[in-house]
Order: sequence, then structure tokens, then C-alpha cells
Amino acid sequence: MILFALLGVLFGVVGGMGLGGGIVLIPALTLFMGMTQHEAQGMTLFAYLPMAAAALVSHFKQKNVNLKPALFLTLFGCVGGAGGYWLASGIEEAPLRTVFAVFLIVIALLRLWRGEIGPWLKKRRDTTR
Amino acid sequence: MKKGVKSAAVGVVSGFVAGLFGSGGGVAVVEGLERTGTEEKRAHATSLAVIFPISAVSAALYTAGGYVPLDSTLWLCGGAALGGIIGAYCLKRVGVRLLNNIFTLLMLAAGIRMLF
Repeated sequence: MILFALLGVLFGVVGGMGLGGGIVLIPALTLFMGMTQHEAQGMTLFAYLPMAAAALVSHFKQKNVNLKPALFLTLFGCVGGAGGYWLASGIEEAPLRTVFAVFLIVIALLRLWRGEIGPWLKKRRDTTR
Repeated sequence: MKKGVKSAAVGVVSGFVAGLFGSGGGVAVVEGLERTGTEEKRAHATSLAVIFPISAVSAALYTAGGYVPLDSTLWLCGGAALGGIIGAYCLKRVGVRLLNNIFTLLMLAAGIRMLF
């Protein structure tokens, strides 16, 4: 149980810094704690709530939230969320895990491209010109 | 009208990702908002306001489906709340870029490990 709390702290620190913690909490739960893919996903959704709540309060206070689009997106998002859950609950552990792994790799590559490779290429192009 | 349809699509897609994978929905919302000209900070804040209720709904569905072990989840949530506070505090002090890159490599490694 202490290990779960420690994982929670780690996830919270990463998430609190806005780096998106949930996406690594899931593999941590399946690879190290022996949870199934479905369990890890459900648990991560929960762990996200207290962390996001704290950040949200401060954003609302600073009036950073665009309320109208947020409400609109939420409405459609909840429909999508139910659809996503419906699909996830309908597929077996192994394929869900594989699809998630591919999703993880794609996101990681996208982040690398955005943060490092893209700007580096642009800089190179600009200096050689 | 066209903007509304696009916006609805962003909502459905990000919700779908969140429901299917239990995470990652925020990426789609931030992307969608920034493309429609919302500045980065507001896009992040707004995405948080969107993903929070979506996560709550999805979490409830996962619980109803019997996928959430209560005990360990409670410990996890407690830790996450504490970590969130530490993270927000550290944000002003640590080089985020290096951390971000380490984190990205970790994602890549975990993804590859999960495939095999």
C-alpha cells in the first residue's frame, strides 16, 4: 500500500508540473505493481482527480479558464469518454495493452519532435542558409 | 457553425481517448484549443477544466465495471494529491525542459517494454 502511495506522489509531482503524469502511471502500475491494464487505467483516472482539482482551483482564481468552450467540450467529451470506456471494457487485456503501448510510443515521439528535434532542425536550417 | 462542429469533434475525440486509455485526453484538447487561437496558458487551464469532469465520469464507469481496487486506489490518490502540491511548488525551481525530456524517454521505454 505504501508503494501505491509513493507511486501516487511521483505521479502527482510530474502531473503537478504539467508534464502529464497519467500516461506513465499506467505502465508503472502494470509493469511494477502487477495490475491489469484495465485496473491501471481506472486507477489512473481516479488519481488524476485530486491532483487536477488543486490546479483547477488556482486556474479558476486566476481566471485562466475559457468557460464557454470548456462547457461545450466537456459535454461532448463525456459522450466520448463513455464511448472510450465501452470499447475498452469490450476488449481483452492483451490487445488493450498493445494499443496503449503504441499510443504511448506515438505520444513520446510526438513530444520529442515538438520539443527537441523540430526546433533543432529549424535552427540548423536557419544557420546554414 | 463550422467551428462548433470542429470543437465538438475535439471534445468527442479527447473524451474517447481518456475513456479508452485512462489518460492522454488532455493532449487532444490542448491541441484543438491552440489551433483555434487560444494562447498556451489558457489552453492548458481550459483543458484541465474539460478533462476533470471527463475523468470523473470515466472513473465512475471503470468503478461500475469492477476495474478499480478500492484500497490501493485510495492510497494512490492520497499520494497524488501530495505529489501535485510538491510538483506545483517545484515548478518554479527546477529546469522543466530536462525533466520533460527524461519523462518523454521514460514514456518511450515503457511503451516498447509493454509491446514485448
